[in-house]
Amino acid sequence: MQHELNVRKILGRTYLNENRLEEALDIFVKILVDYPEDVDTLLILGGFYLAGGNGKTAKSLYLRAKQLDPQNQAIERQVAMAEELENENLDASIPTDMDSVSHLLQRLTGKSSSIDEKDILRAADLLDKIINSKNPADLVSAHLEEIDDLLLALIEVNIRQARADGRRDVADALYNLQVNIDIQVASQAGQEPAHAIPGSLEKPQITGKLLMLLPDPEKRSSRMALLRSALENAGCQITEKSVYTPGLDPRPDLVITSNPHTNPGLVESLAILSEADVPIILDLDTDFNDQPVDHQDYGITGLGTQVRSNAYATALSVADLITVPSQMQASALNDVLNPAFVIPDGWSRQNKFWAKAAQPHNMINIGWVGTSGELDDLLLIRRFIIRILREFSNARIVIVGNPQAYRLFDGLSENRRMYIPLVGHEEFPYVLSQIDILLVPLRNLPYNLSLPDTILMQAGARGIPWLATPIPSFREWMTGGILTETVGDDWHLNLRHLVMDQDLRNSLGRNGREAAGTREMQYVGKLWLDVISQLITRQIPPSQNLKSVKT
Amino acid sequence: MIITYIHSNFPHDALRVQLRCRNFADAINRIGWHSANLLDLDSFTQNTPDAQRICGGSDLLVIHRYLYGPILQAVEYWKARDKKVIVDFDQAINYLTPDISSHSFWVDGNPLAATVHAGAAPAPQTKIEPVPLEQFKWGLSLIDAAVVSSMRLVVDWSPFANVYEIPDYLNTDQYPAYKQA
Repeated sequence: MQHELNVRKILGRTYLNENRLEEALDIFVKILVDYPEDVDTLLILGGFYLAGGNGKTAKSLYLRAKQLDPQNQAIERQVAMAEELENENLDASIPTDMDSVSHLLQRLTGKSSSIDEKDILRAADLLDKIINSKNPADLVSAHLEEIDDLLLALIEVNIRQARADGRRDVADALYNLQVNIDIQVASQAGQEPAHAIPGSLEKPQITGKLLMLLPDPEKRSSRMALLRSALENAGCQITEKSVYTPGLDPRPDLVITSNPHTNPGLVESLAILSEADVPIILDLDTDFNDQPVDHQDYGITGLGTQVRSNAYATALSVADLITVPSQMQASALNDVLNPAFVIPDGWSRQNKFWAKAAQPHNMINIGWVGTSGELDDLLLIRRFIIRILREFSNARIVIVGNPQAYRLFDGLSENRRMYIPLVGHEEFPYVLSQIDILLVPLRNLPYNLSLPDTILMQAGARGIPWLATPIPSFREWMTGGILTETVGDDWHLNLRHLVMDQDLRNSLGRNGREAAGTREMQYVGKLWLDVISQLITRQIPPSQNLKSVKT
Repeated sequence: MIITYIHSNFPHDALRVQLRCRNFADAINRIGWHSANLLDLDSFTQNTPDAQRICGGSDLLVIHRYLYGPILQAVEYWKARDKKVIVDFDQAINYLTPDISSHSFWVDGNPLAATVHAGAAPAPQTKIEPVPLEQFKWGLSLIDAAVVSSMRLVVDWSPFANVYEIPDYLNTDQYPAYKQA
């Protein structure tokens, strides 16, 4: 019996080491059913629950292990960690029942349903029949419904085959596809995927007319484009303009404006609408007060001219509510009349490029995106990047959207550097997919400290591990990468670690992807709808101190 | 397979466009196994409805000569949509000397002569920065392959991309006497 137990535990640990969580969990759950007093298994399952964020169940498993092995000091530490995570809302039921295991798997893998082994066998059998059929097209056509039912299992068969063939890239791409399909299936069924922002998905109904007053509707920010799409999906009637003409244009029930000072003429429209008692939401996507004079966008968005500065002040004064993407930016606005709501940036799975498999490449692409920082930010770590490129002949620097930054690496040969131009918001996930490790260095400036976590969230949505400077929003996001505390050899060491360790990259990428699930527009859109709904119904009185929305 | 040749409308490119785009497109269509379209560079970069329709229906986009500025963005746009993109070029742009007219564009960054509409004054032109030669090299890392007209170009540009030689061909339809002979 002991030998059989050991064999099962070795198998489970092997799966764990290969990060094949589903298989590992399956083994250990079955061991616990057969050997409820096996301390190792209790500890491993406790670890699963701890990683899944269920402190209460983890603690109960650890306490049971401690009863069986009271001298083991390590268990005490595990109990303490579980207590820190303990969550009153989660049920500490016996963790071997199907629901608990399924829920745990959801939390660990980001998928809302585990795939039954029987389905996987059926899928493998079906695939085999199709491959060996004389008329595969006919067979597929005859089994369309079954293929639809077995879609996730069919992908799972291919993932396992890819792993067996040593094709991790293919396995990862298929895994992304599987998670995405799973999210969509869960969404269509009205279920909430495991990684959703906690709370109801029920959206408030908004029947009024919304006007988006934007500086240049042809060049909408990604934030406003996603917001518009989320509002339309929620059935809102939206008009988009850069000028409001009273008498000619119908009176809206609410106005959303974004960075209006960049088109000072637009502020006149805001004043007219405010006068007509139309509630106004002012969205500011960056901290313009602290924007450095040498910032690449300062000439277009900075408050350096009197016209823009006055327009900015006017916009703040007429707004009933201010929304921003980061907590630090909200704090910086505390001096103005209306403290700001924090509504983080999101991503939309309607954009197929988030789920599209990355094109295979032979090099490890270390990337920097020009919109995530300035040239001087990249200069902080340039020497570490060059050092890494000298150490690893299979690594290459990829610069996105900043030709000057690309020139910092002129000394490298052509095949060790790559420039990618910035394209539209829609194609940005495709651009990101060409990066294997994302770097986000930032100087210690008030403006940088107020930046949102958008770039890390986007990297997460694409499953890309990152290395970043620990600004407050990055500290809060934290998932899917490594924060590098000092501008010194830490950057070199951490980057080296990521270049060398593909498993680490993969596991950080998976964690990031799971965390980014909470920012899918289905959830971020709901935050917007809540705010809009409350403002329309005047549950949020204008010019009052408001509690910030946090995620 | 549907192939689209994307070419400039600049008068000084006309002969080379004939040899590197029109002749090839005619030949492909004449044989009939595959089909080929022609699309002008401006429509391609502006992503006009025509460009959307033609490129969207193509399997392979062949860009003649130019890879810079908005063309690079258009390349990324179509690469994201699973199109294979290659560049066809026929000049040793890295060896241009100031006495060769295209030196002004590739090396100095002076824009190509823009179309001047009747009665309109030509707009003041700013230099292209970084210069097109530099951007061309960036572009080669974005595309799937390059096709050139001589073996010397294959040798020179192979460090930047997979380069293949397809020499210039005559279109015998344009030489009735040859056909009669």
